[in-house]
Amino acid sequence: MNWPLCAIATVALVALPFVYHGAYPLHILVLILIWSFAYTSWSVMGRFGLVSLGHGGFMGIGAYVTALLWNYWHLTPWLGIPVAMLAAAVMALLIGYPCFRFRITGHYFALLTLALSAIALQVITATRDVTGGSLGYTPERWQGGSSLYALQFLGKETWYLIALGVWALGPLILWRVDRSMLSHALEAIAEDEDAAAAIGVNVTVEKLKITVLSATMTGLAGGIYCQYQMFISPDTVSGIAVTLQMERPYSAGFMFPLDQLSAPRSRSWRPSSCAFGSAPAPSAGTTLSTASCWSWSSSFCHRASSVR
Amino acid sequence: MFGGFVAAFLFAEIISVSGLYLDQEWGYVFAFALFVVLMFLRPQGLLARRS
Repeated sequence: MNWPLCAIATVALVALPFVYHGAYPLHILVLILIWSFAYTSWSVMGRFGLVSLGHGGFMGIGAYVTALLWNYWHLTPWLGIPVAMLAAAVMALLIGYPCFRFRITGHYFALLTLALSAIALQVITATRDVTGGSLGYTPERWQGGSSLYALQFLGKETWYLIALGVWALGPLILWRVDRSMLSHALEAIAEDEDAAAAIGVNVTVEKLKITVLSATMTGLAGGIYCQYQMFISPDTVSGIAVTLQMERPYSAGFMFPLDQLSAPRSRSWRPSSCAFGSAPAPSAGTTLSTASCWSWSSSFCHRASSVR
Repeated sequence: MFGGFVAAFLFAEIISVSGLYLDQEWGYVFAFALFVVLMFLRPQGLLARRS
C-alpha cells in the first residue's frame, strides 16, 4: 500500500468541508459515504459466497429502532444506534442460525434472507400507527435541530466528518477480517463446506460470526442514515430494492476488479462465480471504489426526498 | 409438482384471508413467515418425501 498517498488522501478528505462549504455537494458526499459503508457491510459477507438479500431488513431495523427509541423514550441515538445494531445482530442470529444449522446455502439462503427483507418492509408498513407506515417517519428535532446529545446537526460539515469516520470503519473492518482466521475459515467453507468441517472448521459458528458482523454494520448504516436525513420511509431504508442496491456494487467490483490492474494479487478471480458460487474475494479497495461510484447514482436518486 | 400447487393455494389463501381481518400487509408477513418456517422444516418441499 502506498502510505504517503493514503496520508495525503486522508488529509484532503478531512480538510474538504473546511475548504469547500457548498451545502448540496457536501450533502451528496455525506450520502455517498453512508451508502458506501452500507454497501461495504454487505460485501463483508458477500465476498465469502454468502449472498444475503436480507440486508434491507437489517438497515430498516437500524434506522427505525433508532428513530422509535428517540421519539418514544427520548433515548439518545448515542445509545439508540448501538441498541439498533444489537437488534439487527439478533435478527441475523435468528435467521442465520437455523439456516447454517440446516445447511441452507446458495439460492435457498438468498431466498430465505429475501423473505426477511420483505417481512421487515411489510411489518414497518403494517404498523403504521407506530412507524408512520409508507408515509415515512421523522425523528423529533431537539433544541432547534442542533444537539450533540440528540446527534442532530444543522451543518453539513459536521455530518460530513461523522460520515467520513463511519465510512473509514468499512475498510478497517475488512482489513481486520481479511487478516483473521475467520477469513481463512470462510474461504475454506466457500470452497467446500464438508472439507472445511472435516479439517475442524465449525461451519455454523464461522458463518454466524460474519453474518452478525455484517448485519451489525448495516444496522449502524441505518441508524446514521436516519439521524442524518431526519426522515425515513420503508422504501428508502428497507426491502429488496435497498438490498439489491447494496449487492450491485459488489457484483460490479467482481466484474472489474480495479486492484487487479494496479497490484495483481495471488488470488485469481472468476467472473462466472460472482453471484452464488464459491467466490474469491475482491479487496477492500475494489469494493469501496465501485461502491463509491455506484453511490453517486444512488445518491442522486435519493436527493428528492432528502434535500433540506 | 402437486406440492407446488398446494403451496400456491395455501399462500394465496393466507394473504387474502389475512386481509379480511387485518391490514393486507400482515398477510404478506404471515406468508413470508410461513415460507421461512417451511424452508426450515420441509426443505425438500411441502409434500415431498426426504430422500
